Amino acid sequence: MVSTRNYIAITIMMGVILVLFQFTLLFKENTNEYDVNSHIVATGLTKEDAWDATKDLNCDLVVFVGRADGSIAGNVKQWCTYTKRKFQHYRAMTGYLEEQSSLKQPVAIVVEGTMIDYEKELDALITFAEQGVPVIFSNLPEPSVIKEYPKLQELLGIRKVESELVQMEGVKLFSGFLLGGESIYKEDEDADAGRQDMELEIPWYKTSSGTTTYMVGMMSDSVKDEDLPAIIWRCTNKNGPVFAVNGSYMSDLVSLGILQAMMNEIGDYEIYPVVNAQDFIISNYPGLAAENEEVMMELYSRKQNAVFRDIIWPGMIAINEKNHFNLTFMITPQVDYLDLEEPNDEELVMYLKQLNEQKAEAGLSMEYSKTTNLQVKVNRDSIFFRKTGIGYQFCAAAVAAEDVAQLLTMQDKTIMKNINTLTCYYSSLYPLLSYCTDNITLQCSNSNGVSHTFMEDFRLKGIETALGYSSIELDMNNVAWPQTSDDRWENYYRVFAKNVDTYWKPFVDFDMVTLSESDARVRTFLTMDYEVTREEDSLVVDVENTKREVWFLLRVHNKQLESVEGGEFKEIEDGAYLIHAKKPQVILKTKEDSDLYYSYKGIDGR
Amino acid sequence: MSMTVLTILQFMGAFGAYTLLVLILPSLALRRYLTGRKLPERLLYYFLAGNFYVINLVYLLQLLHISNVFTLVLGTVAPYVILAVRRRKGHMTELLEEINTVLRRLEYRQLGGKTLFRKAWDKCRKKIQDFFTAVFVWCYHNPLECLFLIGVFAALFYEYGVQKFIHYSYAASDVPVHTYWINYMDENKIFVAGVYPFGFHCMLHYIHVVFGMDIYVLMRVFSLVQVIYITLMLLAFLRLCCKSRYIPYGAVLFYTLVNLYHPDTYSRYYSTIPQEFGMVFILPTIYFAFLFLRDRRQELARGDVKKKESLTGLLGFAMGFSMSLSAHFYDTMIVGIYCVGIVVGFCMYVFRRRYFFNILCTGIISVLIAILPLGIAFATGTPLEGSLRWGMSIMNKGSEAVEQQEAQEYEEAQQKSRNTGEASTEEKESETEVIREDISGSFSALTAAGSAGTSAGASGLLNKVVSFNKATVDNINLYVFKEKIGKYKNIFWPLVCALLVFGILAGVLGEKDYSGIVISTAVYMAILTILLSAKHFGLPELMDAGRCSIYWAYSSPILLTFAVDGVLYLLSALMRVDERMSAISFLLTLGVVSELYLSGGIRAIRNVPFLVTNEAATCFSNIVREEQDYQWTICSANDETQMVYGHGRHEEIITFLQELENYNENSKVYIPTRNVYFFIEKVPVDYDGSYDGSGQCVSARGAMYDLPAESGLVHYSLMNRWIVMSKMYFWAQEFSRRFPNEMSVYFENENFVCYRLQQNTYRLLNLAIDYGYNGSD
Repeated sequence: MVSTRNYIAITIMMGVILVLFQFTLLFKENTNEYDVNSHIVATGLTKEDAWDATKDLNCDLVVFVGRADGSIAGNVKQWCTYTKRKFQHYRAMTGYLEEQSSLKQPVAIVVEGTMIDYEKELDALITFAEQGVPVIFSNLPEPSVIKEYPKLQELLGIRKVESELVQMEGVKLFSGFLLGGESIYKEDEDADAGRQDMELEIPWYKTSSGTTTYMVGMMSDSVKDEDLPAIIWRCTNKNGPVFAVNGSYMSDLVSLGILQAMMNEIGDYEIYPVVNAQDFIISNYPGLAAENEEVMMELYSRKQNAVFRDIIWPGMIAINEKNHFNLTFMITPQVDYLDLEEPNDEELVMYLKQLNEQKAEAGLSMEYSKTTNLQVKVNRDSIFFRKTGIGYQFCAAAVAAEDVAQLLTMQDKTIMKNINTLTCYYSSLYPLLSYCTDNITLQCSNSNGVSHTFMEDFRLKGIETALGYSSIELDMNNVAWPQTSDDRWENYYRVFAKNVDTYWKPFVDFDMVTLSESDARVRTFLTMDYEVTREEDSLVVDVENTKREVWFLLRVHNKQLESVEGGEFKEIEDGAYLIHAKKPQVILKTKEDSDLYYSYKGIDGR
Repeated sequence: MSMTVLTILQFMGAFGAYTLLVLILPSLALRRYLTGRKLPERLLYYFLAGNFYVINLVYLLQLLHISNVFTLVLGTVAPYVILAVRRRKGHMTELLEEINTVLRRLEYRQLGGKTLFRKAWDKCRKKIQDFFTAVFVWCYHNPLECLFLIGVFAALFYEYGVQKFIHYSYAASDVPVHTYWINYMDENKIFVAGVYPFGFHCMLHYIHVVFGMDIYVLMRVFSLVQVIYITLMLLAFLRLCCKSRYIPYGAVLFYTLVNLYHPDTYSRYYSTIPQEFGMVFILPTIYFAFLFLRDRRQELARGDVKKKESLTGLLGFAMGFSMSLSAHFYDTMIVGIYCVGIVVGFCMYVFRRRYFFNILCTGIISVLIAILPLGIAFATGTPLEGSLRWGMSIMNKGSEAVEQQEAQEYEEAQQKSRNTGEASTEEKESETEVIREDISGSFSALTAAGSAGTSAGASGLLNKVVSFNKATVDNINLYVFKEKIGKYKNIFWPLVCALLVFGILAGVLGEKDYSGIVISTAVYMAILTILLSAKHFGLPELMDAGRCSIYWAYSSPILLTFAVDGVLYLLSALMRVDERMSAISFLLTLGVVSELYLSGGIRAIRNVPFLVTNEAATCFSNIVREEQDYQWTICSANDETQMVYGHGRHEEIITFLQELENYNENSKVYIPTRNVYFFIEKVPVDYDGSYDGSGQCVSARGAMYDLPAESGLVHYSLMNRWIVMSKMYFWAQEFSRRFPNEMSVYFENENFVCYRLQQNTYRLLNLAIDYGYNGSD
């Protein structure tokens, strides 16, 4: 029998507990400024402010010899823009030779090996190499041509053309070249099934002494390691290094990383600006209308909005908290504009509150599937958002690459007014990072999170090396409108969680940011310029054109970064440091790698 | 941390380990059996017993191919277990129950491992404390001796320690070959290069395995441990044999500090080599022979025939003789010569039945113990090691055949070195060669002098004596002393005669043991002097004069001590001033030390010609510390060949350069480790003596010469080293130009440069390049 006194005490205690719990929830509810986008970073930078080689007369020069309209030229040009170098194109070596006297010495000559007339231009290339100018063969001529010119073989460091075409089992990328360490691109296990998309048929060149190889083809065990087909290598038989890429890798976006890695190999140090942004975008999520009801009920026994809320959302929170992503969710009010299901504004408020709690950003998805065109979607969505009366500023939008141009014509629409940045899957239509209008940036994503083939992995490493940037855009339309069993949430989640956990792990030192934050960094990155001077063991980096914080990657050989004045640093991997420059001038102090533990000051011991 | 600090710590480790093995642990087991003996006597016994047990334990386990840290520790602990069991005889049940209880408590976690260990340690610590307490008690009661002892240590550290702590590397060319032999003992491959006395190697192997000290470290620092014990044995011997208390300290300080001895008589003390290790056993062995004769005489005088007391001396003699034979035959020869002296000095006793058979049996047993492992190995098909055959051939064939045999052996050793990259054996070492060259020049003068003396009075005995005296004294002066000795050079034979007189007088005065000791010493010194001059007299040169001079110098303090001690003894006996003898001896000792100091007679720290640079030793120590085992290679000139054992790989510079010769596009040279270090002497060391251009830097002129075509270590000797290093330097320069990021400077100063090549082990760099000096043209 409970006494009256105890009864009252228990009741009071329960009341207190109830109030305490409810208070925290009420507090969160009332202080949740869900209709404010806290991720907006006002930089005030526009396309006009972006660095332009034509305005910078002192910038380094990169000469490209080859086709102007080819993808290699595009990639080299893109890389030059990012590294603040002037891109000078010539169709043939003779063109450059004519203008050479009026130009400063290039930091590298990139040639399309297939476009060179070796009869006339080989000697010029050899001369440049002997003068110490790095020469980069972005691809190689036919093996028959190489056989024909022993001087070319010597220049490239090819000892023997073993075979004009060889079938390889895989490709091996050695550590130290691109960020992310060593990779073996060979289908050995079931887990790798279907991932092989590297170029496996290339000419087989055996390299001579004086060469360092960064990537090789893999063959049977009977072939000695030193005889494996070389894919990317450097030859130092002349005064200047000669790099060669055997295959078509320079046509891909990975070339950004390859070029940067080659520059890292030329000197004892290389410092270059990076974006330092890892974006994780969930596009077409959340959906606010209960669409595709029949399939959803069959698969999940729930309507679509309930699936999004009860099944998918906990998974999103889990992966966000585990990996410390700052997710960007691209809300799509509805996908099917032909059905009678309308978006629910209460759902929108609920998600905005949840996103705010998770420190995630909300953007807009401009992708559509069940409507006639983009115009309809933009109009319908504008009406919806206007009707909700929510003041949240949607600054980022996801759009299909082919719709970017059309979307940009609709900037007067309600939902487009605050858009600062667009994102789409990378295609050759646009550079990876650029301004698509004077005020809007375009940040292309390089992964969909679910597919991660060997080439995609190689590309990821290249982009991270060159820019410290990657963007994953996970398309939730696949879950909302599943086509195969792989699109079921549990399968989808498992695959992308595994991929993100595994392949992005080497790059955890780069910042995870939302798309708006990344937009600010991209703007600063595209605007800034820099100058590096060396003073004994110190590197002095003067940041120009911006007063905002910027990031650099420092690659050193046989040295260690000891301290950074005017900023911070962290070691990403052996000899690679991410520098956070907080002031316009940053002084990096290095020390020799070989400072001896047991010291010897010297005494004449003989 | 500086290399000097590291070397000091390493020395302390080696000294501590050796002292633990040969003094502290034996004292724990044997202390109760030696109660009542003098402290120096006990220490000598512990020392011999410790060495004897450890060396024979290693021999046994190696021959059974089961030598490892567990068996060695088990073998070390076994005697203590046996002793404990014996002590508990009749109470074994209780002991087993006690053990059972402990095990059960451990099983039920009532007793933790830490507690058990602490309890065991407390017991051990008490015994160790007792040991040190005894030492401190002795110091307390003998403060002046303690001071002199500190002085002896200070002198040793001054003369040998300072040099060791500022020069970290090898000073003898045969150190690598001994390192090689010891290294293979890790794989239970004793006698890897043939049957050879392995006492020294066994001891170092034990310390290496049980205490975890690398062999190359021991080979660097153990020489100082050796020389400390060599000197301490001399001191203990003199202290036990002399009548006066302080004269031995004066003699030892004189021997350690005086600037009269030829550098070759002590230069080998800077190296860790077997002969010097074996020297520690000579005087303890002799002392125990004296002890046996004394104790036996006293036993027989008491009518005791059971040898209870004299057994200690007999066992000590057996262990010492066996150890000297296990370490180096030369040491055994010296012990043998001293034994001849003992036979003369104690001729009244040794041929008596109750002495002779004991001595004979002990001698035979000790020889058998020493040669048994060698015999087993030889019987199972292991051939004799080259230098052993060389030594035996000298004894068998006499001096005439020596030169021819020497040349043949030398050729064989060079051939072996060519195949294995190791150094030639100690008998071929450069220093000895240099001595011999010097001596050969002097011999002609000596012979001429002898001939002149002979022709002047061919038939006169006096002339013969004069001639003999002159020849021996000249030999002593030539080999043992520096020119400074001047007017004192004729003092030797008078001293020997004086000792004989003192001995006879002591015998007359009833001091039979002292008499025997003094006469034995006189005879020993006389025979040793004849051995030193053997070549001059046309006798078989059982030991070359260069080596013999080391023993002569080591024995000279004994001669001097007994001479002074004899005078003091006679004075005290005649004047009956026993109690004042200590004071006189103290004043004399103080006088000797003061005179040495005031007259500037203390020799300066010797500038020993080290064969490996300090820079190389520094780099090597750092590489071993930093790198993962077997992930690196050192490309250098020979000496690191065996140092890398258990840690990394070694590539000979000469092999490397030979592969680069006649470069063409198909040339391939790979070194299959992630890191490769190239040790290049910018100022090549003078290996095997100096040449016209000694001290010159590597240069293009040097690199233009053809690679030396000779075999063995000749590649790295004299001017060849300059050529090899020049070529290597220019290769490294060219390679680092081509691969600036892969090839970096690891260490550099004006004398030396170490390059580090970091390469991808899955795609090794082809080190064959045209560096401009690939061929003579």
